[in-house]
Formats: sequence, structure tokens, C-alpha cells
Amino acid sequence: MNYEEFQKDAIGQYASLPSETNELYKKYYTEIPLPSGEELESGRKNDSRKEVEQLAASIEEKTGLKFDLIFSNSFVRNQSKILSIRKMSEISERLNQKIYRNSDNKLVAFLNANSRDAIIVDIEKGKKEKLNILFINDSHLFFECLFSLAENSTLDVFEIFASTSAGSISAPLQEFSVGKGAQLDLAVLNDGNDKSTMLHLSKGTVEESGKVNANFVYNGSKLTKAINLFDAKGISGSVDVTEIIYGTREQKFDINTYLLNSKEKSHTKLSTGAILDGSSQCQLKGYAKIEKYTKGAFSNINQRGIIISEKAHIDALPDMSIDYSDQVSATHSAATSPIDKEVLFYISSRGIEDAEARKMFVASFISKYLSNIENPHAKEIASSIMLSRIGGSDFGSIKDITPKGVWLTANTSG
Amino acid sequence: MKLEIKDLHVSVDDKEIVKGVSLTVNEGELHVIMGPNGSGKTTLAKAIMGHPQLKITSGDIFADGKSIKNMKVNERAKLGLFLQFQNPIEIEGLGLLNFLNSARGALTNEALQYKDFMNEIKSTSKELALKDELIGRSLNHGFSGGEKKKVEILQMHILKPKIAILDEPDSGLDIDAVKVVASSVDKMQKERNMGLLVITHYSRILEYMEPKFIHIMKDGKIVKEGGKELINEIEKKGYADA
Repeated sequence: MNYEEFQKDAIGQYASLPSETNELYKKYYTEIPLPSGEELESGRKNDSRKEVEQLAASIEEKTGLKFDLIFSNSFVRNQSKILSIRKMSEISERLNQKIYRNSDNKLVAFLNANSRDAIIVDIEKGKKEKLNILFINDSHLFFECLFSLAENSTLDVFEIFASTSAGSISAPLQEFSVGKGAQLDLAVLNDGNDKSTMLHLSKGTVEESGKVNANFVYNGSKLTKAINLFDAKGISGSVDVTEIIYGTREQKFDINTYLLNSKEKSHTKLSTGAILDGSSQCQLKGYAKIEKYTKGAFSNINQRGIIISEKAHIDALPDMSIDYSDQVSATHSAATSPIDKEVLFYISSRGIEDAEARKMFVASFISKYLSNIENPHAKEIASSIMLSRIGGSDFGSIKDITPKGVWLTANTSG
Repeated sequence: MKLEIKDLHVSVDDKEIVKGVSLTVNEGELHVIMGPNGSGKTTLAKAIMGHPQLKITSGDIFADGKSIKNMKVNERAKLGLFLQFQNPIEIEGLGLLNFLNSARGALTNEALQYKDFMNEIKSTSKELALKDELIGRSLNHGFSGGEKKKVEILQMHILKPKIAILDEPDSGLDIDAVKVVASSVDKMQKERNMGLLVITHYSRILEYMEPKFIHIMKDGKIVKEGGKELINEIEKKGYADA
């Protein structure tokens, strides 16, 4: 993989996203209060090894998972043979400086310039691999992940982002390169704390008959900004993205997802489900583009928001651009509503208290989206955490899942 | 349980739908309410169960002599009231089994062995000719109209109410299914001495049951009452002369 090319390409693409350039969306743009490079560097701790090790051990015990990689500023444990970690400075210090100064997209440039490590995963042709990764934000955690799947290979990645630190920023910049006939199953679970910020940027390309099933679960952080960009660039390439958001208190979410159908018979789909409680706010921006000469292409954006409290707010903005109208299918839908009173009446009529009925409905809504996660452990852990977050207990409304009450990160509110 | 409805007036968005209905259902009794579309039957059923968007402007509802007018929906269920919905709600992601188990736990506070619970569900499903696969799916999600009605009756069996209100249990069912559902309800009513209030447009389901009290509802009021002979009268003359 040519890293310099990737960086240039990534910056070019992010900078041209409608979320960055379209005047219409400026009112739906969440500014990130980025620290200066110096502030960022001085805010990085390297002395929290014990704390990180304790949290990692606790998460491994609760989830029953043995992580292939545990990654933080102060502690790294890599037990995978398919994964290597390199210092960004060793890759291209000169390029980082250049990008920081010249990029049109300050956010991406900032992430690039300040990423300290690169996690590199190469899956060989025809191989089938699995990775469980735990990222622990012990202070500002900036890094890049480069996943490369060769022809007909398969990779199942489960990433958890937890935090021991308040007021810090997690900023992964991930790239997935999915080769011909290869398959990526990705589950990313952010369980930050109420004073942390999550900047999540990912970019994926899918070659002929390749498949991506990407699932992003965002909750817990004070501010979450995500830019996910996937390009079905090969014939019959397929991208399915599912996003699940749970917001409470004064949390803010700015979720941007960009899907591109570049070739014939390509398939892209975005399903977003957001539940907003307290005074939380969420901007859901789903963009799809069907390029020219893409006969048989399919694209669908579906955004669904549930508002639990009167002060919560969702802006859902599906956006499609179709440059080729001959035998392509492009559909979108967006709906936001409070919990349906008829649903609550129905559940309550069976003897279940109103508050519990609400929890059941929320849990069922979330489980609908979690069902897209292929990895059963990831599905179970994500559901457990979400149930914990919504204050639910073992009321068991999620089909085929036994919640264990996993709680990765303590709430820091109040 | 004795359910008494006394001169009940119910409004939706300031429009009066139920205009002074009085009715008493005792344990073991089977009452039938028939009437044309829009006569207020479903509104009456939902008002008894405590639908939050319905406003009782006057009159009252009593369970064993105690007013339940201001009681929460779930509390009415705990007293032993059950409403079979005309249009059951679909909730994708909420497993039918888990929902039933939660509801049963909320109503009884009794620990029932999972095995016993499953056995009861399986035997009742068999009685209702419900496909096994439906039991493992989300509540009513993707079910046909008939399957939804059967699942409502399954819930009634599991939750064991003292008085059940069945709102059009026959709509959406084919001829064979009407017989299956009616026979199952009839059997449960007799075994548990359950009070029943059945709302229907059609007499077919009543062929398999033994109603003694027929009430004809029109324009928010009960305009005629009688025994089973009223069914034949309605079949012949319709509701126009009722």
C-alpha cells in the first residue's frame, strides 16, 4: 500500500464531500473545538498504563473476549500476526507537515498531522481472518488504521472504543481497501464518556464483487463527529452501512456518511437509527451518489430517528445525486418521531409499566439495527452496552441476545 | 370480576364518540356488541382499557365496584382486563416470546419455569394452528392479518385475564381460522369462567360460541339489547332498523 497516495486521496475526497462544501448544509455543520498541535501534544499522557491495563482486563472479563490488539497512548498489546504498528513519523514526517499546512479540509489535515501511530493490517489472498481490537482513550488518541484485503479474502473486525479519560479526543482515521471478491465485516462500537470527543473518519473502497458490511454504534461521548466514506468502485461491489446512535443529556452527534456507486451493478445501502433523549442533538447526513454508466446500480438511504424527550433534536438529511438514470435504483427515506403512543398503549395494555414500555420500545428499535452486525460477540456486547445506556435491565427484548450488563466506561456526568 | 360501564361518554379531540353507554359484564358471561362501522365500538373498548388519548367526559367504569376511570393502562391489565386489538401493533426487534414473558411477569409476579412457559405457548399455538416459526419472531412483524389475530388470542391464553374484550377477533381470518379461534376462546372462557365482551360485525364467529347478551351499538349508543335472536334479526334486516 502506498501510504502517501492514500493520504492525498483521502484528503481530496473528504474535502469534496457535500458536508464540507455544500452551502445548504452549513447550518447543519458541527464545529469541532480542536486544540492546537502543541496543546494536543502536551495533553497526551503516557503514564496511565496501569489504569488502561485494569480497564482492558475488566472489559475482557465482562465480554469474554480476548482482544488481538489493545491500543492506547500508554500501553499497547499486540497479539496478532496479521497486524503491525508503526510510528507515523517513520512513515512520512515530511508528508504530515505538508498536509497540515495545505489541506482544504482542516479536520482531516489535523488528524493526519497529529496521528502518532499507524495500525497496518494486510489480509492475504483467499485468507479468512478475524480481529478484535480495543482502543482505550487514556488521553488524546490520534492514530490511523490501514486495512487491506486481498482478492477473495475475508476479515471480521470488531473495534471497541472505550475511555479512561475525561475531556480527551479519540480520533481514528481508518481506511479499508477491499479487493476483488473479498469481504469485510466491520463493527465499530464507541462507548465514550460524557466529557470526551469522538472524531471518527473512515474510508473504504470495494473492488469487483467485494462486500462491506459496516456497522457503527455511537454513544456515550459528549461530541461525536463521524465521516464515513465508502465507494463501491468495482462491478457488483456491495456496501451496507448501518449506524446506531443513542444520545442523552447534552451530547451532540454530527454523522456524515457518503456512499458512492461507481460501477455497474454496484450496491450501496445506508440504514441509520437514532434515539435521542435529554437535550441531545443529532445531525444525520447521508449522501449517495450514482456515477455515470452504472447500469444495474442500487442505492438506498434510510434514516429513522426517535425523539424521547421534548428537548432532543434530530436533523435528518438524506441526499442523493444520480448521474445516470438508465436502469438504476435510488431510493431514500427519512422519518423522525416521538415514540408512537399507540405502541406504548399496546405494550402497557399487557400490564407493563409505561417507563418499562418505553425501554422495551427503544431496545427493540436498537436491536433492529444491531441485527445487521454479523459478528455474534459484537452484536451481543453492543446490545448489552446500549441496554445499559438506556437504563434498561435484563428485560430481554432483544431477540437471540442475552444481555450481560457490560458497561465499558463509567458515566462522568454530573 | 364484574365490569360495569355506567353512562359512559367518551370524546376524541373534543368530538364525542361514545354517547352514554351502560353495560355490565360478569364473570363467565359472554356479551357481544354489534354495530355498523363508526358506531364507537372500538373507542368504547379502548376507553375501558384506558387509552390515553380518549377523554371520558362523563360516566364511569367500575371493576368490582371500584372506579378505574383514572387508573393507568397497565394497572387495569393487572386487575384482570385484557384488550384484543383490532389492529395489533407490529414491533420489529421485540421478540414475541420475550414480550409475552415480560407481560406475564408484570401481571403475575410469579416465577414460572421457562420450560413450563414454553410448554404452555407451544400447546396453545398448536390449538390455534399457529406456525411454530412465528413464536421466535418479532412481535407481529410481518405477520398476516389472521396470524396477528391468533397471536392476540395466544396472549390472552398466556395472560389469563378475568375479563377479555375482543375487538373484531374474526376480521382477517378465513373460515377455518374463525372456527379455530372461536373454539379456543370459547374453551378458555368456560374453563376459567372468564367474562367476555366481543365486538364483531359478523355472526359467523358467534356460531361457535354461546352469547347470551347481544348489544347493538349505533352512533355511540346502545340502541337495542337482547338475546341470540337479535343476531338473526340483524342478519336479515341489517342495522338500519335497529
